[in-house]
Formats: sequence, C-alpha cells, structure tokens
Amino acid sequence: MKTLIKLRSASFLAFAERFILLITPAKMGIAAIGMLVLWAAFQSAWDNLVLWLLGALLGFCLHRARFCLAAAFRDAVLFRDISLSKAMIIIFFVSTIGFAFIQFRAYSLGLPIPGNIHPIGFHTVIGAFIFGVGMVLAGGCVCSMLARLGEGYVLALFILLGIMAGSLAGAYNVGWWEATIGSIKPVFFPDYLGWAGGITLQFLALGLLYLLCARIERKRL
Amino acid sequence: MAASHFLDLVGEICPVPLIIIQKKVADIEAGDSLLIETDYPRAVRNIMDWCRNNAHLYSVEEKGKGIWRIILIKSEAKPF
Amino acid sequence: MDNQDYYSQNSSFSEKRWWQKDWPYWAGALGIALANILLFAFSGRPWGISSTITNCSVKALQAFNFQPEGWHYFMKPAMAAQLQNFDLLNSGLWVNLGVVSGVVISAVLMGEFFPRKFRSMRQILLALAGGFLMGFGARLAYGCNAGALLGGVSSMSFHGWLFAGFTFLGAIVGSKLILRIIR
Repeated sequence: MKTLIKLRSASFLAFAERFILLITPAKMGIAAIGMLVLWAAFQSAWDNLVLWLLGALLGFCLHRARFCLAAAFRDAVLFRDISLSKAMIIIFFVSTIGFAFIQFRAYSLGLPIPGNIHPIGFHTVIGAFIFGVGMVLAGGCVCSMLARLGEGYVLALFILLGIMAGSLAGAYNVGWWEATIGSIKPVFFPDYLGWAGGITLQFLALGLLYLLCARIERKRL
Repeated sequence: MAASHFLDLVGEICPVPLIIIQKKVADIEAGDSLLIETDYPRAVRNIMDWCRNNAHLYSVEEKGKGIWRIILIKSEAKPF
Repeated sequence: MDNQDYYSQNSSFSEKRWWQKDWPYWAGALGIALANILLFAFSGRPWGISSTITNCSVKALQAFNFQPEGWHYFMKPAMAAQLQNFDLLNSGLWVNLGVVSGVVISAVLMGEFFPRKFRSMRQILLALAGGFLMGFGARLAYGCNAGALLGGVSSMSFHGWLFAGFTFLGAIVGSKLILRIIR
C-alpha cells in the first residue's frame, strides 16, 4: 500500500515538472499575443487589427534586420560605421516616393495634405539635440526600446519609464518655448517649389546625405 | 584554439561592447587572438562590420542560450 | 578562417532554418519603408511612438487626478482631439503594440526571447536619464525618431530635416559623454 502511494505521487510530480517546463517565456509571449488578437476580433475592431498587423510587420523587420536608428547616427560618430546610416537613407528614399503619392492624391482631391508637417522654431532644434544626446545615453532610440521590450530586456522598461516622465515634462514645457520665442509655420517643400521641385529637392538632399556618410567613412569630415 | 585574451561582455548593451573591444584591440599585439562573449545580437553585427572595415580576421559562433562567441585575430594592417 | 561575407563567417548560420536567419540591413529597410507607407495610406498618419506614449502617460496621470489638459501642448486642436478620442482602441497604441508583438514573434522564431537581467546600476541610471531626455526632446520637437525623423522627412517637411541634423549633433555630444562614462 505504501509503495503504491509513493509510486503515484512520484509520477504526479514528474508530470507536474514536465508541465511547468513546457510553459517557457516564449510560449507565454505567444499566448499573450494570441489573446490580444482574439479580444480585438471579438470586439469587431477590424481596423485596429490591420493597424496591429502593419505594426507587426514593422516590428518583425526591425528585429530581423537588427535595425536601430540610433545606431545610424551613433555608430557613424563612434566607429565610422555607416552601414545603418545608408540603410536609413534607403528608408527615406522609398518612403518619400510612397508618401508623395499619398500626399499628391489628397492634394488633387482638394483634401488637406496628410503627413507629419509640424511648426519649426528653436524648440525643434533644441528638442532634436536633446533627443540625440538621450538616445546615445539610453543605448537606443525609441523604436529600439520597443524592440528590446519584445526581446525581453527588463532594462527597456526603465527607458520607457524615462520616456513617459520626459514626455510629460516636455509637453508642459513646450508651451513656454512657443509663447516666448515663437515658431514659424511649417515648411512643406512642395508649397514653395511645386510638387516636382519639392521632390527633386528631397532627392538632392538625400544624395547629399549619402555623400556625407561616405565622407565620414573615409575620415575626411 | 586557445585565445590569448578574453572579454566577457555578456549583459552589456550597445554601444558599450564595441567601445571596449576597440580599446582592447588597440592594446594587444598584431597576431594575438581575442575571445569575446556577448549576448546582444546587434553588437555582433556591429563587431563584424568593424572587423571587416579594419581587416581583422574573425569568426562567429552561437553558443546557445543567446550567447555569441567571437574570435578575433588582430591583423597587421593600419591601426584604426 | 578568412574575411568573406557575414553569412559564411557565422558558423552556426548555415545550420539555421530559413525562418530563423538574420536579414541584411537593406532588406529590413525596405520592409520598414513599405510598412510605414501602408500605415500612412491606411490610417492617414505615419508611424509615431512618442505621441502615443505621451497620451498614455497623460491618461495615467488623469487616473491619479492630475489635470494635464490645461497645458499648452493639449490646447492645440489636433492634440486635444487625440486626447479626446483616446480609448483603449487608440490607433497609435495598436500600431505600437503590433510593433512589440512583431518583435516577439521574430525573437521567438529565432529562439532569442527570454527575460534578460541587467548588469549594473549604472545601466539603469543611464536608461532612465536617456529615456527622460528622449521623451523631453521628442515633445519639444513634435516627434521622436519614428515620427519626426522617419515621418517628417518622408512627408517632405523641413522640420524632419532639422530634426535629423540636430539629432546628429546631439549624438556627437552623447557619444563623447558615453566614452567618458565608460572609462
């Protein structure tokens, strides 16, 4: 009788051990994603599912190609390594073409032109500078932070925390900048040069950027 | 193949690994080998590109559990 | 052992299956550009992260009974509308949740998804400080690197180019700082 109980409990323990080993972090991650997608489908939020899918494509490419926009700047400065900078220029080039199509279509339909076209002022320049310092200190840009989260880095949570606090401080502060120093209205290239001129200027600027990268590599900056 | 030097960079995030490696490679002799262990996937690419730009020989091996092992042999070419 | 290309130098690379292999940078660049264009076409706004994080932070503050709606930033009609329409199904939130999910899927396929602990207190302090500066700078410049840099430059807006130039200057200063901190 005693031996029977011993055998039963031993096999139960073995079974429990195997079951727990099955629940790896990877499977938990996939299960979480699956539940999110099911919840969205349950709410018939098909729009949001498409957004999620496009985001997933972004994230997949980010991780697979080991991309980091912060490294595009930082590695050029620290190591004269411009491979990521060149890849960033490719993104600009292809995106400009796609975005221009979408923007021109809206323009020819008489709709307001979509896109990230924002006012310019001292706050832009100072904000970009501060962002540059911050991204090198944090070891990655904002999209890299998302990628680290996806890889399981606990450190990324701290970067996120910092970004949240900084965003609030910045949102509070930007009013002061615009009130005291002011800003000029957005500069959209085709407004000043027409569509053909604007796109030409953009490609010229991208070409100059590429030449700049090549000079950095040859140490002649 | 026993390496003459060893750098344990597991847990360091970009850009720290390559900075430390640059300093170390400047210190060692040409022809010495350096064994590097890191678990940051981007750093592996970074190191490989840097080695190629500076004509150092290298080989990469994934040791499992996300750790990469890189063996680097400093070349006699111009120092970076 | 000689210097051929990336794929031949990585001895374990050839043992991997096709869905586990690394991509070259240009392939990732094309994928990111394509996804960004599709996103812009579908939702009318390019990819942006810092605006989403700002809105989430504001919602968190509101849960604690602070009142950020009065701040200048949220007086602008576009930003106030974003705050108004914010619910759990906010579009920016879904895109960025998707981004993290995409990374998780890619990492799981490659066997690289596991909790990674940090190595020193210095890393945490750098992460917090760097993150704070990034968030602050992103709000001042009306965008982070996804919104102002990728989105702004692709939209042919000059503020994106300004952002690129001054981010580069900031990266120079940041690099000098990091070199001094690393010793």
